[in-house]
Amino acid sequence: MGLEQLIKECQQNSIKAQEQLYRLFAPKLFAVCLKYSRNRADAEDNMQDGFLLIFNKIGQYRFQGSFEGWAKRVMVNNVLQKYRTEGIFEIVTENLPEEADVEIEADDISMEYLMAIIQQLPDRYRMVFNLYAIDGYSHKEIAEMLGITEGTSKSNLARARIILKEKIDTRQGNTIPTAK
Amino acid sequence: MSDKKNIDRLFQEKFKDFEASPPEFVWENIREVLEDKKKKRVIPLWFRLGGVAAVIVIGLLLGNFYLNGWNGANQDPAVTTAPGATQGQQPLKVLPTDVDAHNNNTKGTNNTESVNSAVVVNGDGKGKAATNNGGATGAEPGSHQKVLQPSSTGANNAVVHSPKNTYNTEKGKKGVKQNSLLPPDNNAVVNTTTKNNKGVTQPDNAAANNALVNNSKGNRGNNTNTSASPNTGIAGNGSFVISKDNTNVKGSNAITNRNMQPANAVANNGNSASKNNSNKNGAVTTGVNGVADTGPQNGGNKANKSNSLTGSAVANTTTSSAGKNTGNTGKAQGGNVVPNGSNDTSANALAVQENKSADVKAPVIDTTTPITDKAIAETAIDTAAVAPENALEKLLREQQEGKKDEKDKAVADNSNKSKWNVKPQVAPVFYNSLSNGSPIDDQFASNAKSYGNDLSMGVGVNYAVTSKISIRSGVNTVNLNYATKGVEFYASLNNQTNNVAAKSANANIVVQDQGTTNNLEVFFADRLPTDTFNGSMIQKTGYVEVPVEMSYALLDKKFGIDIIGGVSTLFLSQNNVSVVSTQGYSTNVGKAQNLNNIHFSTNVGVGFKYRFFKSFEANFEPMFKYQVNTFSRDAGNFKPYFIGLYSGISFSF
Repeated sequence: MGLEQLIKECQQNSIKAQEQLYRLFAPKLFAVCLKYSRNRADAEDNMQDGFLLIFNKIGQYRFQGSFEGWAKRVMVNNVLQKYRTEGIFEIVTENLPEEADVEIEADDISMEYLMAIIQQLPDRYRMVFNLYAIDGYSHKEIAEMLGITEGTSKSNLARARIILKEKIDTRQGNTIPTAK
Repeated sequence: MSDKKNIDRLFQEKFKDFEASPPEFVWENIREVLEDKKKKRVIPLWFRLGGVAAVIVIGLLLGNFYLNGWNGANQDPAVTTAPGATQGQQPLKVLPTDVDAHNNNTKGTNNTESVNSAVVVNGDGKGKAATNNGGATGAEPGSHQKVLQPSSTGANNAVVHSPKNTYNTEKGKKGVKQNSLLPPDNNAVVNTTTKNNKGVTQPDNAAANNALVNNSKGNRGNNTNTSASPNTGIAGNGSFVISKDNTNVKGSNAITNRNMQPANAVANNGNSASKNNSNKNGAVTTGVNGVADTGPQNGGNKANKSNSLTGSAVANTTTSSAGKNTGNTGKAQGGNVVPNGSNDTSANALAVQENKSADVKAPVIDTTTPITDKAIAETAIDTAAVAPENALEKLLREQQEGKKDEKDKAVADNSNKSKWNVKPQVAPVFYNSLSNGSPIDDQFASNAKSYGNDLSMGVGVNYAVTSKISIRSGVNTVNLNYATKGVEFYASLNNQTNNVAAKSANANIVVQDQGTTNNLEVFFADRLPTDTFNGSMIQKTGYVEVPVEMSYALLDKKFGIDIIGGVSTLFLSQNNVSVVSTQGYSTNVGKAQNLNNIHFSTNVGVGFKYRFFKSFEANFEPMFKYQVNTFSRDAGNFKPYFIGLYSGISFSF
């Protein structure tokens, strides 16, 4: 069954089709959830809510653009919405820090570690960094999505980078004897 | 800016093809929600009403549970709530994840700290706890007290997690045994106090506590408290404890889970004194948990063991060291039950396991300590306390999982709950007589009668005395009529029909059997034979019927069958006799004089009902009603009865 057919059946609320669709996209979308959430447990919650939202809104998918892209957006929006309701985006920190040196040297940092330090970022920094650096949204889009200003978005991104860099550096310096 | 790209790129590259498999339960949860939704679409009302019913049932059960817990605890509820704790203390949330932080505590101080962070509360209302802490550890009394008061009234729970237990022994000095009972997950609570030691106990515990919670997401906060104070009974539940003579220690625990679920806390203590035994309790609000503590007391109890079960439940037992205690006995009690937050069934499993373990231990304890009846009573109570929880949890889980058939539930609830129902009803009524007499006059006894069909309408009320038996009443109007055929009638100034009071405004209509023409009268009187009409006489009666009946349910499912029996009181409301000639002329003759204003009927019937909606059922009840004492005189062996096919929709409430 083609993806399109599958989606159509999902639109008719076929549980079977929904499961198939879930199996198909769960790994990628769970990765998204992990990136955007505070920890794995939150990611699981977000995954669940996000997928329910996808099935809920799947009728609105018009087969324009990739379904994966659409599903990811839904998933991300779901997470943003959740954190927004928690009020984390209301704090405004406009002062842009100095552009710091965020160059890092090592390439062999483990995926797990990167995930961990991303999850440890303050919520908004994590959102902005994910949206901008990893998922390629513009500051303008981010500002709209998060209900903040572009300046704030930039500032948050810079701070996120600094924090990440620090963590990577300390890890390299202190704990890992791996080749630099 | 080029620098930036490096870190961005690092992440981009790493995350580009990153995939991660979510745990299977995520899909399970999603599927449940989806299925629920589907069901909802099909029978939204069922779903909703079923949910309401389930909630009500759960509410009742919870209420029961609380009541029981209350009683069991000697009316000292130990309740601690996470919320209170959280306000006071940040650690709550942290606890689960950061074990270490708590662990840091060293020695005596820990207990209190751990408590604080944990949610639970210690200390009696009396503030004894504070004293203990202070003495022993120098922990911050202030924080405790705050915590305590808000949540509990008088009673407190202390809960702590500790993977290991350390114990105190009497006199504070000696014995400390550390038992690492449980697996890492567990929480152990231990308390011990001995008379001698006031401040002593718990120093070690601090280290012990913590470690737990890693496990399931569900359990996040666990707490154990321990405080020992001689006589005062500090730690746990102040209210419980209280035996003055004995030095008891009590621990109570409260544990909270992220999700609110029912939980139980059990606390207990072993006291040497009999009085203490009665302590128990746990009341738990949100979270869960069981905890037990034991206090050894007098004499020489030394070792206490506390066991923590996995999850949150903990059972503690104290036993007196062999040989030494004569006077003292330690008791242990296990409390348990911990639900986990994430709806997992695993939570239940844990709970069960816990219970088991608790139970197991309990017996052991008993054996070790020859305790009086009270001890037994306590254990019995504990187990009892456990059982309801399981049921509760089951219900909760079932509800959450939506596995239970909502319909059945609703139906069951309904049958249990709806004591009353009201039923508007309508019935075609078929009138008849067991014998061929005539109430008007014997001369019509042999005449053919034709009985009319009429309608009865009314409202019935049904009160369920038990699930099987109900009492019914109501008010119905019922009209009955029959025609006596083969009569002739004529107008007369002198005569009148037997048993019929003519209307004064008109000439009397005399009705008689055909062929009984009185020639004399014809001759002398005021009429001509040609003025006699053949026809039939119609007697109409109307009643207001008030039945009092009892029904017994032979079958009480969605489809039910009842046997119904009773009597009705009928109040005369309409009384009319008229004649109709074969030519179609009709006229009113008057009112029958021999009708009683009140008469009765005996009723027998069968009721069929079908519950087509939660509180609504369709009823169909053929009833046979035999009238008694309808006529005051000259009934002419007329034995009327009527059959009504009562049908209606009843509403239960």
